[in-house]
Amino acid sequence: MTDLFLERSLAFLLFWGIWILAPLVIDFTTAMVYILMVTFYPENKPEKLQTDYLPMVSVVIPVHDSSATLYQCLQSITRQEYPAEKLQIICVNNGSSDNSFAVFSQFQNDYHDILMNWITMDEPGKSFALNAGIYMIKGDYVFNIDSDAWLDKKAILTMVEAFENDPHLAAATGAIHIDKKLGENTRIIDVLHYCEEIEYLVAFNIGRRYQSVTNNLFTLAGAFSAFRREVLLQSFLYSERTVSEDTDLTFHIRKFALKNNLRLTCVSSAIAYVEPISSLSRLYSQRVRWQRGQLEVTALHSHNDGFLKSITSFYGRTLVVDHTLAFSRLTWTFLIPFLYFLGYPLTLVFAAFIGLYFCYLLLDFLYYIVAVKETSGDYRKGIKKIWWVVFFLPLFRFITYWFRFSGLLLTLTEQSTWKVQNPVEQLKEAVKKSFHFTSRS
Amino acid sequence: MIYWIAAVLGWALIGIFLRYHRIWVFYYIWCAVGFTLMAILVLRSSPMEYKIEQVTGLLLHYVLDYMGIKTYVFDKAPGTILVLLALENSWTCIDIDIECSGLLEACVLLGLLIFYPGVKLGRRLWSGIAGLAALFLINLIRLLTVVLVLSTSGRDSMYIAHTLIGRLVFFFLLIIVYWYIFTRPALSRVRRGTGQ
Repeated sequence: MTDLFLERSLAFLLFWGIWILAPLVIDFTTAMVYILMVTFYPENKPEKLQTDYLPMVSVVIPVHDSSATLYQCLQSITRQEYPAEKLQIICVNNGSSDNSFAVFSQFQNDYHDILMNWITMDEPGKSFALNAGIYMIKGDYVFNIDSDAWLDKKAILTMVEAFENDPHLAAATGAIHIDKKLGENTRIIDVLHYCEEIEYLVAFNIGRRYQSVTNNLFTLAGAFSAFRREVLLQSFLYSERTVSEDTDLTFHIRKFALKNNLRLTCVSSAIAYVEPISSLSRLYSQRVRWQRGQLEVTALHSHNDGFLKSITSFYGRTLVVDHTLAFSRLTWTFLIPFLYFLGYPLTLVFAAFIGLYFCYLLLDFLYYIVAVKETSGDYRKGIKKIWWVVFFLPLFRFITYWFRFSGLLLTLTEQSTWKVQNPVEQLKEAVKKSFHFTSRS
Repeated sequence: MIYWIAAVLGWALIGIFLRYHRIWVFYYIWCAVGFTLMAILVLRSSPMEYKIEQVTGLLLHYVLDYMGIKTYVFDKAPGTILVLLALENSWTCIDIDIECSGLLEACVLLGLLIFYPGVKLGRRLWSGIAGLAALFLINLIRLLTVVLVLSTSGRDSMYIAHTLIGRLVFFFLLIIVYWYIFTRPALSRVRRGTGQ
């Protein structure tokens, strides 16, 4: 009896679940390729430099209403294991309405021994700010850091070592982690933060590692990335034409790098920290922005290619998974339960969904185990402490899928904005407005 | 009937409300999924379903005959096809029902396309016709694959041929159709929107 049920469940899952299962197969294949690649080509931690000479480094920080985080960001730069006289910090204010400048002035009073510049732009725009800052650089290497991020004390030195040891390295992204004590609390928001942390860990220690090996890095993270000065100055610099100016620039630099036998990489031991996401609404807004950015940048760089040409490129394949398959997942997520009304037993439908959950759980466990292997020290202890969060990762993946799907639709229908109202709030407001209108009339 | 009219009206009104307030993700899910479910309920056991099954069965019969695989079809049982298996020299009955006719997938495709906000109405119409034709063809290729596997590997391979191989062929071919219908127009639109 059990055998028959299992056989039927499997047949049902294979036949109807293929619409959700095939993306899973693709996810699994991708995971296997990533994991094998990371296992066979582990990241060579940058070697210590053989000389005492350290090059000049310019750090460009775009500032927009950053008074709450700017001091900590600047302080993390001065506390680097890198000589202060070899650092130049350029803060570019683009339309702040808070007291960011006062924070900068206070910092300048507290730390005299570092070269610092403040530029104010006439118009807002992160790309304009970054470009203006880049024109002021004196260093051999250019670091871009978000004003709400702060660096690990070895971040700059590790990155410089990576560049100095590899003359073919054109640009590199650091790894982003969230600034949170892992495993201390277990409220829902904490679980969300832990999911976010594991997601970042996997993205930087496995995903971008794979992309580095194949020289297909998709994004040099805007929060923390570094460039060889001459490479950056030969690029188109940052552009306002998409919401993902960092991805757009990465595409340009990758083209340049491929032509000139250079490469882009992820130095996952150079770490920057960011605040964890404060609510589901913020997470929604962030994922919508990421999805819009991916679609915009891919559209601009794909030149109306056909299907076959498109999937020969890394970003074309990524788009098939993130865009094309998203449509099949959408309807079938709702349609599979509906098959009950076409005569399939309800237990079978449940079994199919539970089977899918366990498949994704296995996938996330695999990612987690490999990603943890790449960590060390206290961080490793912390990330091991939250191993149980892996059980929530399939749910996190499911939620972010819907957020990203919403992003796909908003890209086609609405002008881009940094913050997006979530659809539940929108619905509440719409219902309220309608009732208000009805009661008045 | 009255319940049907009330359900369709309710569905349409909520859809209009969501679109009016530009709550796109709820609008799209509500309208695309709602349309698909209603279309399946209406078309299930309808003359159209039988017609599709009959035409699919007939085409399969002609193509297989051309390939030298002996088959029989019956006027009184549309969608039923007898295939002579070369290996075992015995007949196997293949019944094309709603699950194998591609009708469910056609409803899904139409639901997703009709309410897709990324494409203009004219293109949606054209894409719908081309998409349905491609889907019909792909379903035929799937059934052909199933019969060919059966014919070369015997009746024991029915489960794997029907549930896995045929389905995978269908899925991967349909992804190409989805790419041309959903992804490519989205890229064009975004490209125009970013001034390129």
